[in-house]
Parts: sequence; C-alpha cells; structure tokens
Amino acid sequence: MAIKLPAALTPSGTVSPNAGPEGDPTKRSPWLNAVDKVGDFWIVGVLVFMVLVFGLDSPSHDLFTRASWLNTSQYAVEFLILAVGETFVIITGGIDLSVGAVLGFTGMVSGAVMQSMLSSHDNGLVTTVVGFVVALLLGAFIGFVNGYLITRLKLPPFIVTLGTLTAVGAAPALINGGNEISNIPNQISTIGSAEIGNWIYYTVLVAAVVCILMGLVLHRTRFGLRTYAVGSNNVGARRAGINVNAHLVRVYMISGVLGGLAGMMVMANFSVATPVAGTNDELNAIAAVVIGGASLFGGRGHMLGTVVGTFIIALLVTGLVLVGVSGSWQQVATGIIIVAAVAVDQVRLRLAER
Amino acid sequence: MTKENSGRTRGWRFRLAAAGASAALVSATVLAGAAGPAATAASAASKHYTFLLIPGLTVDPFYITMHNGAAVEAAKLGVTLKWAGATTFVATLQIPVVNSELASKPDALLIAPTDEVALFKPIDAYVKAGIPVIAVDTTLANTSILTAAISSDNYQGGEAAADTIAKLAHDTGQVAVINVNKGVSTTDLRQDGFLFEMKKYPNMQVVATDYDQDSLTTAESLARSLILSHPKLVGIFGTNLYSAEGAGKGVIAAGDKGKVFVSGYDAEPAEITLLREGVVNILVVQNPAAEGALAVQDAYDAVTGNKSMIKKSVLLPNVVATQANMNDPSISKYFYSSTLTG
Repeated sequence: MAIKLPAALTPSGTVSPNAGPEGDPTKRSPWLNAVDKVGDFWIVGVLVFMVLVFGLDSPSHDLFTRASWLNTSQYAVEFLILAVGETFVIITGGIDLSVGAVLGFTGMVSGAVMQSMLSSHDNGLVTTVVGFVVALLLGAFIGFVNGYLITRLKLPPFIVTLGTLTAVGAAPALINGGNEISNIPNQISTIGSAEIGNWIYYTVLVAAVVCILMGLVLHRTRFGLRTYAVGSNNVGARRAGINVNAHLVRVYMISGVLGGLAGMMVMANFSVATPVAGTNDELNAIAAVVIGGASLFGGRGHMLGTVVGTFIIALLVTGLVLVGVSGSWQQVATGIIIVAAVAVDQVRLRLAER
Repeated sequence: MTKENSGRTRGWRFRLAAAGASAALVSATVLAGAAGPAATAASAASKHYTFLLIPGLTVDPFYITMHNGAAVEAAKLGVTLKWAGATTFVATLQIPVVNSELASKPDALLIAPTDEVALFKPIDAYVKAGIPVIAVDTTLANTSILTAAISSDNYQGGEAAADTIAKLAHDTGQVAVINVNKGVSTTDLRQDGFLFEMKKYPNMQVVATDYDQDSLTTAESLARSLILSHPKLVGIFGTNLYSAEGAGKGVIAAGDKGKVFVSGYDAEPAEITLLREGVVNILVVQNPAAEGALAVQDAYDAVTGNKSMIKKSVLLPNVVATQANMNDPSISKYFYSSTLTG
C-alpha cells in the first residue's frame, strides 16, 4: 500500500499550491528552508517549554512523576482518538462537529445493549465484544450519514455535522431515562484501570495504536495521499480520477468509528456509560488539530502535530492545577494558544512563500 | 437548583437541540391555545381542585421525587395533581408547556422555573388569569407575583458538606472544590457555603476551586492533579453528580481512597450506588418530596382562602448521608426515586 511521495508533497505533508520550480524547497535559499523546517515543528517546542515550566514551577516537580503522567495520558485519551479522526476530516477541508456527540451517544447505546445482555446472564467477554461492535458500527453509521449528506446533497460539512451534533447530542437523554448505566461487564472496567508495567493504561495503549496506525494511513498510503489531494484541490483530485465523494464518505466514517471507540474508552475509564460524556469534546479535538498545524481550508495537517496539540491541551488541564493556577484560566490559555498557533503558522507560510 | 444536581447543564449542543425542538412545540402551543377558551367553565363550578405541577424536567429523579411528595399531599387533600413538562432542563422547552397548559385552567400552578427571567411572562399569564403560582426549588428573579417560593437551602448544603468533610478528616488538612461552571446560581451558592464554613476550621485550608464544565473526564483529572500537588489534601467537594463522581474516581485512581474524602450533592440512584461503593463518602441530600408537599399545601390554602397560612419564602434544610448512616431509614427515606408514584 505504501507509495512514493510525489514532488508536490513536501516532507511536512503539505501539498503546496504552487509546487512548480519556485515552490520546490530544494531551489530556495537555505535560510527559508530552515525557517520552514523549524516552523513545522515549532509547536513541539511549545509543548517542551510547557512541560519544563509546569514541571519546574510546581513545588516538588510534580509534573515529572508517574502519577502525573498517568493522569495526563489518561485525560488525553478521548481527545486524542477524536482528534485523529478530525485530522483526516480537516485535511479534506471539512469539519466534523459531531464527534463529541457521537462519543456520548454510542457509549450510551452500547451501555444499554450490554446492560440488557448481562441481565439475560450473557457471558461478560461476549458482551464486551458486542458492546465494542455496537459502538463502532453506530459511529460508522453516523459518519456515513454525515458523509452522505455532505457529498450527495452538497451541504456544507459545518451545517451537516452541526445537525448531527444537535440531534445525536440530545439522544443520550432518551436512553435509560438519561441516567448513567453502570451494569456493564467487568472486562470493560479492566481496560480502563489496568496498567502495563505501571506506566501505561490499556486505554492509552489503544489511543497510541490508533495514532500510529492512522498516522501511517495518512502519511504512507494512497488513501492518505488522496485525503490531502481532496483537501488541497478538490477539482484537481476529481480530474485525476479520484472518486472524491466516496473518499469523503470514508473519511467521515473514520471519524465516526473513532468517536465510537472514544466512547468505549471513556466508559472503560469510569466503568459507567454516562449521558454527558463527550459534551463539548469536538471543540478540544478541533483545537488540537489546528494547534498541530492543520489548515481549516484543507490540504495541510500532520498526525504528529495533532498528537502534540492534544497533549498541549491536556497539559493545560493537568499542569496548570499543579502550579496552582485556577481552573478558569485553563480555558483562557487554550483560547490564546489556538489563535497564537494559527497566527504563527500564517506568518511562517507567508515567509516561506517569499 | 436541579439543573445541576442531575448534571443537566449540558452545554451548547443541548441548547441547540432545544432551540430546534421548540420550533415544533411552539406550533403545538398555538393549536392548544386556539382550542382553549371553549373548554373551561367546568372546574370552577365544583369544589374539586386540580393543581398542575411543571418540573424543570420530567425524567429526573429529583423532580420525580418532588412529584411523589406532592402526590401524597394532594391525595390527602382530595386534590387532583397533574404533571406536565419537558424532558430537558431548558426554558425554550418549558415555556411552550407552560403556555399551552394555561388553556386547561388548573386551580393552581406549581412550577420549577428553568430560567428566572424567561419564565416570568408565561407565569404572569397564570397570575393575570387569577391562578395562584408557587415556585418549587428554582424561582423567579422577580418573586412579587408568586404566592410562595419553596426551595432547599443550597448555601446550607455547602456548609454541611464542609462540616462533614472536616469531621471525617479530624479537622485537619487541605480541601478543594470541583464545581461545574461559573455563574450557575445554585452550585455557586453551594460553593460559597462550603468556603464560608471552612473558615471555621483553623487547621483546614481551601487550596483550590476548579471548574469541570460538567465533564467526568475533566473532574477526574483535576482531582488527580490536586492530590499530586497537595499532599495534605483530605477532602474534595464536588458540587453535582458528575463533579463528585469524577473526583471520586480520581481519588481511587490516585490510590488515595480513605485518605481523601469526597462529598457530592443529591441522592439520585446513581449517587447512592457511588456512596455504597465508597467512590463518594458524603452526599448532601435535598428534600424535594417536602418541597412538593409544601407547595401543594400552600396552593390548597391559596384556593380555599387561607392565604394567611402561607409562608411566602421557605428554605428547607438538607440531610447528610454517609456510608455510616445510609442504611438508617431516617436517612434513606430522603433518597430520590426514579419511579413516578401516586
């Protein structure tokens, strides 16, 4: 499946709009190339800076402890899984506002199914598998509906996914009377609480595997290349023989499936399916992708950037508390970082285009 | 106050959902209103009264318990109790219900307003039609048109949480508050009461007040960070179901169960389970059944001309449940029910 990257695709995963001789990095001044290279990874520097500041500023360097890592990594899980799907969507030039709602809804439906299976004395392991299948399929279905409406009815992604966010987001209140479902198999709770070698939760492992796998799909396969192509030049992609509509539907289905997976991870963490799970998560997921350097206009974005963006957001919750900053400031800081990240990126691109 | 005790502060996607759904309900209201005036005169003639109870939302154990308390009192007085409302705690869904039910001409309206300003006009329409209105639990900003307002005391609830944490921790150590959102009147009162009461303990300090935006994940993470950065932490006050549940799970994940005590608010079935499992150690339990019963009494006094019997504003005290006393019937009778009775 792996293919050679064509000239138009720069190492940063950017399909340059003017990829002629002028746009070719090898023909430009070394200084501009350096700016470009550093620029692609400046956000990693921000993350390192934050780790150092929060770590050294907390009274007994609490950030550099196992407890802090377990906390931050677990907090990041749901946003990371959602942000991976969101990365694909945003690179196509679309947006998926429904991911948080999908997380909450699939979790509740899966929880309700598992509850009824357990009450008819079904095997915990079988029930767990069915629960996962239900959540992933339901997520895929909602993603399919999103993609279908966007491509066949030519509706803007923002409107379509705002609609599914609204409808699907209200649905958990209709399941189990809007109450939490705690009668779920022990196997699910084990996934959420067990650690591998005292440092990695299974849920974190799942998120890491998703990141690596989908990172490879995005950066090393034809599917990934087409994702960039659709986002950077929709008409061109069509002329090049890509079935753009089918591709977009698949991308939204990926986002939906990952929403379902995130729903199961949240359930595993709390040993309970809860109707408020995922509320407002789409904002964190989109923020992570944008901080990671993706463009909302499509064609640009990187899985590594998304991972870094997610951890920046997670650190703003767990790290600020360690240094004694009040919780309300966390959102203020997130807002500033989103705007700053995009602003720096714009300046950087303008410099690179000179 | 029950907007947050059941975690129904859902954020913008719920509000959007409500806005969409309200369009459909408004048209229903118009139809009901048109049918209204013809079908009235019956109730005034007989001495049989019908009271209407409109909760903040119909599917919440807090309001279901309120209804059950009201129903018992109504049965005692020979009054018919009607129950109508929306399934989500939002004004845009409650207002159409209030508007359309006016046509049914109840003898009194008992209502938990979902917004202290937006509900004024719809409620004032009842008052103008000569129907006495009693606010239960939540209230209006302008209470002048209300016959009475009955609520549980959120400030006292916060104080009770502080006292109980102090008792469990032998009056020594650091504590923190994990609240839902800034600007929610009820949870803010709970926090204020907690902070005020904690000042009475010289060996205890409040080290942080954080907000979780009603997210379990965030509440858990905040709790774990607080435990990490404050080794002397002995208590966390989670001001609603999800704040307390997240904090409790965080304490367990950090391995501090039994060292850091978590207080939650309300006694819905899910919270009782958490208390039994020791995820939370304290629950401040309100008394919605008494709120409902008292509202029915007040309404009855109002329609039978005993207005002097009515206390215009009532704040009911809360009960504190812990693992030690939760099986005591004098405590467990206050736990909320999720089944409508009566």
